[in-house]
Amino acid sequence: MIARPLSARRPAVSKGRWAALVLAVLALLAACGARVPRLTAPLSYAPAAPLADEAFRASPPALPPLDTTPLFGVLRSRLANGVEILLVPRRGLPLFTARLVALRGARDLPAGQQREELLDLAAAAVLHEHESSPRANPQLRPDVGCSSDRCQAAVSGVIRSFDGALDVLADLAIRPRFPESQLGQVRRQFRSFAERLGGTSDSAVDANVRSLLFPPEDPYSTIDPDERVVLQRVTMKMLEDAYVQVFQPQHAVLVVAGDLDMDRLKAAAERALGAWSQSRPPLPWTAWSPVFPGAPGRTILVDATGELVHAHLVVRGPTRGDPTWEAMMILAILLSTPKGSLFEELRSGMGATYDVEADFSAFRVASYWEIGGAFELDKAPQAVTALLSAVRRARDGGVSAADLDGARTRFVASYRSTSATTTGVTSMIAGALSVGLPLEHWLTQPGRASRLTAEDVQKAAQKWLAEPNLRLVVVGPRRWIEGRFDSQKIGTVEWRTRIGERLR
Amino acid sequence: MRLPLSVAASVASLLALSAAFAQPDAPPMDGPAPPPPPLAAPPASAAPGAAATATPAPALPVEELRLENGLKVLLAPDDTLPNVAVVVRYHVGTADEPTGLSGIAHLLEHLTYERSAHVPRGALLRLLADGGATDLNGVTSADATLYFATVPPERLELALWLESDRMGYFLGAIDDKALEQERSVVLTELRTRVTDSPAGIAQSAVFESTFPAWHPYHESFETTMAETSGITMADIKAFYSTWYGPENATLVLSGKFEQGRGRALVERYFGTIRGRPAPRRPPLPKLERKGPTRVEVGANVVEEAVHLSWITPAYGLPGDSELDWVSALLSRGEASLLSRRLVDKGLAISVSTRQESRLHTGMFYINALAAKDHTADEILSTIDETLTLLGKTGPSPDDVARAASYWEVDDVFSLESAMGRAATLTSLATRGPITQPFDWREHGGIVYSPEHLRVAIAKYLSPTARAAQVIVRPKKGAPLAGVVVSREEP
Repeated sequence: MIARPLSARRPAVSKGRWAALVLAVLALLAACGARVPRLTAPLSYAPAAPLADEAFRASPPALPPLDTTPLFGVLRSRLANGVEILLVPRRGLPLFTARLVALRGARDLPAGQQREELLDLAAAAVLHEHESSPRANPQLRPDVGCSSDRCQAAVSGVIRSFDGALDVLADLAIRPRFPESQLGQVRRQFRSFAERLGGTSDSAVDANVRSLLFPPEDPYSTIDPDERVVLQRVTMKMLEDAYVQVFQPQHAVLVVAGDLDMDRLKAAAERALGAWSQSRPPLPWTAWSPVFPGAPGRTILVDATGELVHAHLVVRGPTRGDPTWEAMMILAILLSTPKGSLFEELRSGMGATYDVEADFSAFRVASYWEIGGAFELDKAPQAVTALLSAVRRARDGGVSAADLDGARTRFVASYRSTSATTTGVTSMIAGALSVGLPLEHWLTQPGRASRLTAEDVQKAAQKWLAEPNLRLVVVGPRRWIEGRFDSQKIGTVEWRTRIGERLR
Repeated sequence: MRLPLSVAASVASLLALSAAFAQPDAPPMDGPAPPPPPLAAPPASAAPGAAATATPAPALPVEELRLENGLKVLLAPDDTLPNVAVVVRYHVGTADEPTGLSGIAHLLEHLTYERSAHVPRGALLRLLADGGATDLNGVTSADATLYFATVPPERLELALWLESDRMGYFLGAIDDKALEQERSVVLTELRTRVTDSPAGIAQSAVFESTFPAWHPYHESFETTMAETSGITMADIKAFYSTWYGPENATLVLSGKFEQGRGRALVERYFGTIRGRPAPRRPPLPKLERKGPTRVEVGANVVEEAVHLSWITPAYGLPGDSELDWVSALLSRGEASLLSRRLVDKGLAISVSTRQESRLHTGMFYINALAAKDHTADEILSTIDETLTLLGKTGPSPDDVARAASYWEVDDVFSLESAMGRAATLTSLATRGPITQPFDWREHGGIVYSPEHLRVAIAKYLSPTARAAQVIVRPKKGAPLAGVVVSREEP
């Protein structure tokens, strides 16, 4: 191997006459109606003599097992007002990410306020007000977001801006502003959201899956028309009331990763958050699971104008702490492995799709598991048959040792990759805490996942993917989906709108 | 300039990575009028009124090597990262597709995942995925084709074994079955991205309208669909044979590996692959426009939309970095100029801008989605007023300071993950040899003055200099992706 400097570039040479000639020829071709050629290099196929076929190329190199030990430690402390502090020290680059997580969400609010859209509008209003004010510090990247299970204010930046960062978190979470002047902006934002709900085939699938799996009044379900009317008339007072109830110190955890130590973090946190005191009664932590809306087995058809048919098989899954939780996660990874047998069959064999995805979406008190994709119009029924067969194979015949090993490795590697960044690791910790899992559960997850056996995965599939639990959502042009999925025999067939309303 | 990885993303998404990697490169050229070479150094020294940002360049080591066969290798080891990113960049993209073979670069990218002499059909992706690869993908841009994966350190050798087989042992193994199979997959992928997406035709109309038919960056969705269907195995072999050699590629390793071992593995797997001269691209006449091409698209959507483009300086040339800043001050954050004038005022739901740097020339885009009860024409008029005003008076110091902060923070966060670092290095290496100590910051830690940016706006982004103007109007009964209703050439 020889290290040498890169070759110098060729000097530019002016050839105005040449350029004019080329353009004239191109113009002449265009005038004659001929295809104008693109100016690209010609191809040359000159097969070289075969390369040496060294023995080490014949098979893959040996694959040592992956390290599954946690990659980092979490330091803990607590402020005098009860706010817990978690720190993942990260040396190397001068940056940080901090999240103030409120472990309460729309689900925990009083009746009438239990919509994540309401809290999320409040979050967007707070962020917008902060970003448009002179208090905004462009060195910092603030964000605020809410869901059914939690709210969080986050800020990232370079480390020299860290002390100011916690003041920004305090601004967003403790001293939120809801000026009346922003009401128009908030209402426009909601109207835009409501009008575009179900606007793409993917979002129509999502809206229908949620309305199929959760009762209409549940925060996990798709927002219904009556609630949309209420939110269209939202006031700043309504937003403030919901938001302030959630962001209270007794619900809050500060999660930070970055180039700093606990002493510095704690000093900054005491200064910015130490005077934060309870202003509302604590919200109860709602732990009950929503019931199924109606009979589980159903095929939902949605008319849409795209050029592909989007089809997803979906089931409700385990709640947190259930022993099958990680097995369902691994099963999703296993069935969406690139070049796995299902991928091969659908993409390479049938030419039905570009991709097939299985996913396990876990919330605090419920979860769902789905598998699907966007399929060529004429191949969608065949593709759904293949999806069903794959699910039944995993459930009734079990998974192979090789497939399981690959899925476990992918899970561990993905965990390792996500936890490599300050945004990733703080997001993972916030997510675990939001669904009510102890930090230790999450820190030991790679080890647990890598010990899962084929029997564990099959048992989980038998429990959750039993035939009566299956539901099918199909979104596509009516003439390509009507009557074409009845033979799958997944419950009764219903037509719905793009946002999950039943059509009669 | 390279689109920075999103700080908000939990892991660098493949989309962001695709954008991050979509950088031009500077291959050898022949003939009378090549474009001026990209600058070898960041533009700070050439920028009047430029100052330095407060965060210094991170001190992270990089070693640059050339194997005897011409392969450029960049090694950036760092034990503090948990995994290692492997990127192979071939300096060939859609701009190198000959007349009649639109789509061949993308189709070849797919085919190289299918099989090679020592890797059985379909095994490449599966071995990497089951080996724990994340960020696993290939991307074909206008100027380059990239293959990338982040792997656990225990799988580095596996990744190099697979990539070396792709580079040296593809031609003898590929067959007609794979070609037919991947042709079908590519056509489905194109449909997914364009015709199954709301107003998807609008973005492809921008590419079709910005450049004349002879220009390598001219793209037409319909032509690509039609010509992809006709590509033969002989075409594939010729394209691969012309462009996919070690001399026309760069290999980047970044993250957790021991430098000596990394060097030895690269030499073992890539050192004996035979090099051949990279082809010469023909020179291009100067691109001049007489005014914008105006296209109107009717689509089955709710809101009107505006898509605008300008032809701007190529990657690394004066003006390119400045337009990154202009993009930031126009649309980055809620306090940005166009956000204030369009979104805050209720005219638009969203607005985005971008300077897309390429080898031959750059493109500046503005895309905006009108709010209900407002029209694309109102949006267009506000954008024109804003750009005209900025070209006369320049941005305020506050707006410029905000843009400076964005880039300063982006330049550090883009180095947080192994893949973010590899993407940055791959991009910066296209400017020329790696200098020591290496400055990892895409923007070189510079701060432009308001006047400097005013000049850039006036010079490159005036309404009269616009290349394409695509308007989307809701139309009942039209396809979701839309149809071109009218086209007006200057």
